Amino acid sequence: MQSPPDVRHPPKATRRWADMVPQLVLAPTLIAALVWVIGFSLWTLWISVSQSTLLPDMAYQGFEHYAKLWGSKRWTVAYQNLFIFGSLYVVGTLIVGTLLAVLIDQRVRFEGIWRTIYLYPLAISFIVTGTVWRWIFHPNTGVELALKDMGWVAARFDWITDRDLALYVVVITGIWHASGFAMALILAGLRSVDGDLVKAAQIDGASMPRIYRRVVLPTIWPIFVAVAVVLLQFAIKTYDLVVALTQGGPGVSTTVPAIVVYDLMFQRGQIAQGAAAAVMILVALALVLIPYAVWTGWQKRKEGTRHG
Amino acid sequence: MNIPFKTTLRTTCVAAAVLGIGAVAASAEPKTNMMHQWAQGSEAAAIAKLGEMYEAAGGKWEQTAIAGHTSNTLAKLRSDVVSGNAPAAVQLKGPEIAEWNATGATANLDETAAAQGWDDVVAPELLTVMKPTGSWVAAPMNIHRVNWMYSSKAILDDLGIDVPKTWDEFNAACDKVQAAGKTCIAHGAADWSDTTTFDSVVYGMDAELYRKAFQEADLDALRSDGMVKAFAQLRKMVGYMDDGINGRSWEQSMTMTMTGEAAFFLMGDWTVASANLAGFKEDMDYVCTQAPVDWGGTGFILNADSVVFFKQKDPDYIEGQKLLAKTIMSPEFQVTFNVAKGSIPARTDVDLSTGGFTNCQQKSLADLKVSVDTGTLVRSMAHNMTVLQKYRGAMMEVITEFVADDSISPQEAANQLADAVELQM
Repeated sequence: MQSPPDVRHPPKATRRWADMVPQLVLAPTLIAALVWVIGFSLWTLWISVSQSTLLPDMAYQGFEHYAKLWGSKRWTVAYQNLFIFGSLYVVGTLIVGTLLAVLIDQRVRFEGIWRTIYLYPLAISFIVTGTVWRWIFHPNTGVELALKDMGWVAARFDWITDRDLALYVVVITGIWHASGFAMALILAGLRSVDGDLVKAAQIDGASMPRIYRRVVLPTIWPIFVAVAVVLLQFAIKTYDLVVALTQGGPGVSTTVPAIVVYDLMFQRGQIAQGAAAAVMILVALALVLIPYAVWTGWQKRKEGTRHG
Repeated sequence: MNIPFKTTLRTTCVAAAVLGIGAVAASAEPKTNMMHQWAQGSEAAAIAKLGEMYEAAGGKWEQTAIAGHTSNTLAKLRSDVVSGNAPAAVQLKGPEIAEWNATGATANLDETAAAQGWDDVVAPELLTVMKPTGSWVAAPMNIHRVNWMYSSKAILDDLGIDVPKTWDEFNAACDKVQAAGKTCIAHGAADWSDTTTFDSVVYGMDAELYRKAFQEADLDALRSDGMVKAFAQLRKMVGYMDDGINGRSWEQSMTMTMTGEAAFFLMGDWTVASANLAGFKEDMDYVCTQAPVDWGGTGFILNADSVVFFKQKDPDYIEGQKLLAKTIMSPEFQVTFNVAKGSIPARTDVDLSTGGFTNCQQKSLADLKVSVDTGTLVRSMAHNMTVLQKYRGAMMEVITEFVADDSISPQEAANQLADAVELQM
């Protein structure tokens, strides 16, 4: 049955079309995300319990790859390093980034130049960063040699060759690399804070450090969260920085999970165990992100009840 | 690769039909595409030479050079094989040959091998590697020797030390060198280089233990008293190194010995190619001898590069594989390639006195022959010639940790070595 065109509501079809356009535009991205994120995650999960060795083999084997993984010292060290490195790197970068942002926010002269200098490390690849900092930290080429050449013969600066301290070398290098990025975002946040707020606090007689701590920084907390999330995924996928800086050494002391996954999958022909390691990285990520998601959901609900 | 295959076939058929010869009887034109990791420097030049020789023999040469670590080549190979598109020839070595052979994707070279008499000329220790299940699937390109020791001529002469022949003599020499304020062992710590050194230590102390532990991954051997002693020797040797071993490349360590900064350097014979390229002279700057052995004979730890052939459908490529295998095994290629790489030919019947081989290389061949005759030849665990990668990786982790952490006792290390391997079984 053909109904006559509705003359009184001509926009109806158009409106429906207009409603559909954004969905249509978003659909490919959504499908891609579903396939890539969920599809391949599930595939990896299955591979991790399959019989795969050199080539993927879908036959089921069980969870023994996980048992083997956790039995190896290198993996336990790497997993522990992920948490130590991840938390120190994110927190350290935020602190240094905030400090730099606050300093630049003081209307310093040549602000553009300072900003560029601090942002520059981000433009340098992890491989180059790692290689240069290896030279700086290595006792035979870097700071220790320079101090010795200046006449301080007993100088010692060999963190990178000390298995207990080498991980902190990675943390420091990571912070150097990313703090400019944190600074840029935080500085933008600081500039967006209403000047009247600061003035009001000044009239109340608050000191500048106190104003920053109690008034300015709390108002831009969503920026800290955003920066932390970006840094967190840098931390979890860290690979090239460590490879260039310490090659996971001394021994296995600075190995990170991504290196283990790569080795197992591509070098040792143990695809199933490598997949198990990859799943464990996902678990580490979930350990951080699920509480965060729950917290934001709870926060939203609270706001909703307050406004409703 | 399916499309060109069909097109070629169709063209061939059409051409054949036009010429009235009949559809199938068109003769194949040998073609190949070799996948390898020698993308730069003298190695790339050596491979280019292979291409030239291949074309001169009437083949059509193509190559896929994948720079960087072997794992990049393996990743590409894996995706090609999974997508049913296996390359005609790939540079692969050691147990990987057997692993790929087990997937059923490799081609059989028996016909070519029999016609060329490979069984008679290839070093016997390589046969099991190239013929994992009794059929030839790979052609060896060279033999590297891993248990070399390079001594600094300047330090030896200054301190009046003879080149040490046993590990006890080695330790005594090191004590002297250290007393004179020099570094004894030049080393750059990495899992493979730590393990290279340990290869020589275990082998030099007890060749039978080496076979059991590193070629057969025998758990009792890995846990044995002999292994504990070997770790104790390694601990001692770490003490003879300077404190800058972490983050130092093997080339830098080599230079330390060549310039007289350190007395000894334990490394395979690729050092010879690099040292000579950097302008150092054998018997002037450095002396090459076998790494110390306590059992008084001539030892040889072997490492070999090889090319594995994968099954093809296109008759052109099948024909091309035969020609490539023939070219690789030809004495001419083996000479050109190995002069550049510092190694020696995989055929033991090549005369090294001509063609630009150094004294170290000639000594290598002579020692190889002696070790074949006396039954002391072994394959290198550090350079992936013996056990599966999963065992090798597990062993290397323990060894490199032992070098880095002096709180691990030799007894603990031997147990960890056995445990790490057992975990992967």
